[in-house]
Amino acid sequence: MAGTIICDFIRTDANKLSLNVGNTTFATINASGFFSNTGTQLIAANGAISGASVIASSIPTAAIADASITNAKLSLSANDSNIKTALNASGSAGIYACRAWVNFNATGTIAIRASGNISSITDNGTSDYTINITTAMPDINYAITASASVRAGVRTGAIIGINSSVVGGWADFAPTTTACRISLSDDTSTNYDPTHVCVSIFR
Amino acid sequence: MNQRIIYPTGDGGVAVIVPAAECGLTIEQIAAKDVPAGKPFKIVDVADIPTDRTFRNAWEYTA
Repeated sequence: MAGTIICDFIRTDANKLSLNVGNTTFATINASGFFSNTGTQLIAANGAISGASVIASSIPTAAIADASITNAKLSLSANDSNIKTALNASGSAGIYACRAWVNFNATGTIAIRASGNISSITDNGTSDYTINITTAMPDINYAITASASVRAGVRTGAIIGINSSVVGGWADFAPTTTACRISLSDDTSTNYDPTHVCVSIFR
Repeated sequence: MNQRIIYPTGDGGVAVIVPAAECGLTIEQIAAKDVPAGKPFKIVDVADIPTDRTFRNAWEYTA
């Protein structure tokens, strides 16, 4: 408690020490601890703070030992308002995470620019890539979003097939928990390797 | 990583695995994980992979 306590007198009786202003007792101390004027225990005899409301801003961060901050004390639901605030999300709709993503250049020497939870991509041939996931998805029912830059010099959009292959003829590809496959063409059915291919996986 | 993993595809072509540098796995671990089971494979230098992809689907795997 910050500040200075000024009281008219200190009274002792019945094995307790009372702090009074006039006839009003605003705190008592006995063998069990420190109590408010309503009888709520604020500090136990062993020094533990019990019923008191501690103002969070009054506790210096350095005064809290790291070991005292446990997961149980920090547990928040996935849709906790504090998490939504941190993610700039609003409303009551739930938040569902991107579990893996990759951005790669499929021209020339194919290379991954950046990724998360991706172990590699497999160049199966022109317009046909397997996305290999480092830590497996919980099942194969994840959602894939993919986008790609247009074919150079051609003003047509990229048509992207998920869980499909183009090498050896267009065909379905069965995803696994650690791999999915995309293939693409422009809208004249011409296969090509885009400068930018981006894939995100949600579950 | 300046290495790639190659293995033969079922239709006579070759697949090229491009490792993700951020994944924390070695090239050998990626090969063990991402090369289809039972397929022979080789780890090669990236410079050994052609950069001209004009005839990409005609590339072949040689042991």
